[in-house]
Amino acid sequence: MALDAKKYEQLSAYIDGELPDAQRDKVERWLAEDAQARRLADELRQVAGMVAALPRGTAGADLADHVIARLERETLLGESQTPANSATRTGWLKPLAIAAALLMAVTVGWLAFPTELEKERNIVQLAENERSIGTADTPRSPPPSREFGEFDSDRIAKKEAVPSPSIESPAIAARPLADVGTGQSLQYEEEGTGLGASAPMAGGIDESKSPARPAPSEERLASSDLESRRQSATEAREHQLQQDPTFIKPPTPQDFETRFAQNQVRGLEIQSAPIAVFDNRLEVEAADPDAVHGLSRMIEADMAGNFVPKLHENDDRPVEPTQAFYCGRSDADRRADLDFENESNQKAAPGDSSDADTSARIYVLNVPRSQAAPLLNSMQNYLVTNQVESQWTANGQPIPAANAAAETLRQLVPSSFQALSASQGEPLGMGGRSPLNPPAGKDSPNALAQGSTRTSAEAASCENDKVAHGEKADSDQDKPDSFREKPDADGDDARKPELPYKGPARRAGKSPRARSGDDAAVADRIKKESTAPRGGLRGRQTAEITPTAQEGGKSEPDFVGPPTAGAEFAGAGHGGVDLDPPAPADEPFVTIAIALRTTQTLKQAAPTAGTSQSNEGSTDQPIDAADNEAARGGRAQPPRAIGGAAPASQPTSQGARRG
Amino acid sequence: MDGTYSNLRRPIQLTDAVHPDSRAADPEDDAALIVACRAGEMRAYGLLVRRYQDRVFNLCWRMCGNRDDAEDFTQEAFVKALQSIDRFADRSRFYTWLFRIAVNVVITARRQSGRRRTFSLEGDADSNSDGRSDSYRPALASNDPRPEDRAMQSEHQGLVLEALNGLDEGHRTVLVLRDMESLGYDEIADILSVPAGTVKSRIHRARTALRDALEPLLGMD
Repeated sequence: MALDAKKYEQLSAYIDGELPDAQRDKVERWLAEDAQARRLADELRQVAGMVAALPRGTAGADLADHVIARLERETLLGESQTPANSATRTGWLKPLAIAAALLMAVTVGWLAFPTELEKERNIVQLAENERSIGTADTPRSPPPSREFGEFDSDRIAKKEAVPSPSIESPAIAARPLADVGTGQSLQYEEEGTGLGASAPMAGGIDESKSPARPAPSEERLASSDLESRRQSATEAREHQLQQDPTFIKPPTPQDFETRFAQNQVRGLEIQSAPIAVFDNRLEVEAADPDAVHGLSRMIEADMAGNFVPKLHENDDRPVEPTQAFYCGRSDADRRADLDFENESNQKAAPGDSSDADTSARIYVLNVPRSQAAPLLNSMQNYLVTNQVESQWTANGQPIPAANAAAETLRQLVPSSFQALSASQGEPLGMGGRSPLNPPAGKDSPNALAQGSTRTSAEAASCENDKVAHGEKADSDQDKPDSFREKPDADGDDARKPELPYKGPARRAGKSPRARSGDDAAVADRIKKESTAPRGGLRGRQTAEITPTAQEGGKSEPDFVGPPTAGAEFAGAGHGGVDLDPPAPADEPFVTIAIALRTTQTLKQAAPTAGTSQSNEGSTDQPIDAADNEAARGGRAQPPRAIGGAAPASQPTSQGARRG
Repeated sequence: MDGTYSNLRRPIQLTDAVHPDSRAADPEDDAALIVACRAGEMRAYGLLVRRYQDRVFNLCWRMCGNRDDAEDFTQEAFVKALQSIDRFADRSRFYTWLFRIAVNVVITARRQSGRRRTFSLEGDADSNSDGRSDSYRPALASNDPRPEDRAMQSEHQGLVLEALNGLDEGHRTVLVLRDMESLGYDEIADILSVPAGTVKSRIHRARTALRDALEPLLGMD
């Protein structure tokens, strides 16, 4: 039977012309004798023809663009192993790269001063040439260089070897994003930079601008030895460029900072930037996907839906509220997650894309400086009230005071909120009766800690809860515009919105906000309960953290976020974003990047260099899982902070974790 | 929001009008482009993608049976290939290496997503939450004006597709590579990382299964 099967297999191979001559002859003899085999062969041939005749589709015309865009993004985000970082991970390549770099440096130096070297190496021949021609001292021009990203299609067409890029690889590596090939998509969006789309892609070497060819005397000097050296130098250059891990390097924070300072790039347009390049960033990771998902909802539904567009009222360009990167996710998943208007989607059954979401999301918000603090306050307060571990970083360094502020609030919040949560039997979070939407009066600790306003998402959540419980919705919240509650005239309303960040005066702790008696009493009580390592709570709705300008003898970065030292901090509440007064037109923008991840991501994947550092730090202070479980209503997975760019030598702030 | 997001992306359009016929692709051209890609020249990436995008797309389409997924897989395959182009060894042809990546992308994605579905013309019931269906019936019955979709509306090709998609993944893949992409057994073996003898037996079994399924059509042409 097996023999028969093997025999019949020959028929398909015979049809395809894949048989060697001897076997083909055998099959042909067999077919000549066996009518059944002939018929089978005919049928198989027909089947093959039918499959071959199936229509062929064409890929989208913009597939190449999408691929290049993804390459840019993934290279910058470091999602995938690029050739550059693969070389980094390959330890044995480093010595090779160093050796190649040294060889290249020596060769470059040698080529830069060829006459002198040639004199030393072959002085006899040089003397003869000098005598015969007398132009031996003609300086040799440096070899032509080519801008990175230039591509000579003519050479490709001529099947010539593509010349290697400029030998100045360090300069290439340090070149700003606009000059790096991976930054092409940003270029398009820039205004007034003078960097047209054709700048980095302008093709080919301009032969007319190439240095003059060496003089005839130098050509005579170019012995076979010299040619071989040149060839080896070229090979070394190519090898070095291929192996150099810095060859394609993400833009430095300074690159972005410069562009932001010049208002050349708006946050909404930054789509290829990795989280690490942003000076102001919040990296959040939690074991509870709901917490992260709730934060993303808050960002997208409230900040993106209400806040950011209003910042761009005077901007004639089309505005997308915010940017969300969905790393490693399909478009369908992204669309599903972005459908935040349908509340039922938000409450989908467990196991849907949101619950199963272990991907990273990166939001990039570009806001006026004065609006950054209240915006970040809302986020931080959400994190605090939901006991989501987070870490604030700036310029690649953790911000001790900011993290300490968060830690202080984390320590404060559970004592009041957990009791409330336990009494209600409902978990903290976006759903259910969250402590963010307490039924208690404004004098309750919860109300105090909750602080001022709710975001529209929270208000909507509260209203949905009320409707679900058969309660009548607040009349002032029936209208979408009233989601964002307004302060009372006397300013005593506990839901008074946070004032926008006012700059250095506030950062120095000079809040003009007055206390009311009741709230002050509660604040004092909470202050006594506080175990804050430094600073303390002042004010009714505002917990101002005493500035700590120096942390560990090192100056803190200039961070615009509220949790920095001295910044106004909206208690443990869920502060809304106050849009009044509008930001001045000439106010500089600040870009804030927010990365959200669930812990499962790191558990499943090998930690990156940045995260592993922080994780190492987190082991010395284990998170109280029981406390966390209580805070989350049964979820025992401890959250932890990540510090994307914290160096190994930089101890992770104590404030980044709960002891 | 999604549309705006896409519009905001607006990557630089490759302006070169090179639309090489991938089937006539010269390996030496490929080599030059690969060298350029290794040097980080993004335009060379674009040229390579354009050269092979239709072939890779067709392979993915026939393997997974869904056009949208095929586009994603195609993009993923190119991204993976270009990211690891330094690891491409010149001992094989570029498109063979690329096809291997594409096949792995499709197989891996389908395994991970658990979307190992059979594609049936009767499969209206397995529409997903987006209201789309991975079966071919919506595509066949759709008003999509694309020529290839119109062509697929013929009953003859529909039956062939049904039979093809009824095969298991391994047999369907070898048939697509052989009969649609006209690859040799050795190339298919290289792509699938299986011995050439396995390719031969798989092709024969796949064709035999197709012959049984398409028996009413045989002899009609």
